[in-house]
Amino acid sequence: MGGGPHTKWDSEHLILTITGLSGGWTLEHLGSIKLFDYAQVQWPSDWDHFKIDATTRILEWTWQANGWLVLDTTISSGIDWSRKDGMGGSMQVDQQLKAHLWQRPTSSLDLSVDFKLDGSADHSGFKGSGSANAELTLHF
Amino acid sequence: MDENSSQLSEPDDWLAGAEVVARAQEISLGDIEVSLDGIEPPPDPNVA
Repeated sequence: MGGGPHTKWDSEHLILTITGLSGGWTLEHLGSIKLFDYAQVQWPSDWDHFKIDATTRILEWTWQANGWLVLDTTISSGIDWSRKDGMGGSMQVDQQLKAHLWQRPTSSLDLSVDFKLDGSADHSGFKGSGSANAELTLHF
Repeated sequence: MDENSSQLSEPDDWLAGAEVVARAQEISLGDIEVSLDGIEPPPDPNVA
């Protein structure tokens, strides 16, 4: 990294939401999108343009590198399912069901990801680490 | 219910019309290094 002023991310959270993707979206598609083409975000009011632009690039890169990991980890944690006929329950997801969930087209799909970033940046680059909490809702 | 209509062996049968919700906490994204080339830097407070 070069010199100049540094901007820090101190366990800062940013929640991105994608709602109402309809018309046959699959998890495979969702894991491959350009995140900010679809996500809505409420930027903290005290962030300057540099921090917003930098975070946008960081999270775009992070989703390209880890989007499938986030989705796979999320469905691997188990699912709650329900139907209008009153059937439903909670269950673990085996490999067969996971493969099916990855590829089955949805009637609509929602995703919320709470990213947490730690690190610092100057004009040349960001260096740090991150984690995510995710909630995924699929309608079939 | 016979064996051929088992919920788990035929996901289509029970997922049709279903809402499925999944959640995960603290998914590690590991170390992150990203170039910020082209992004306008903030003003340096040490420069008049």
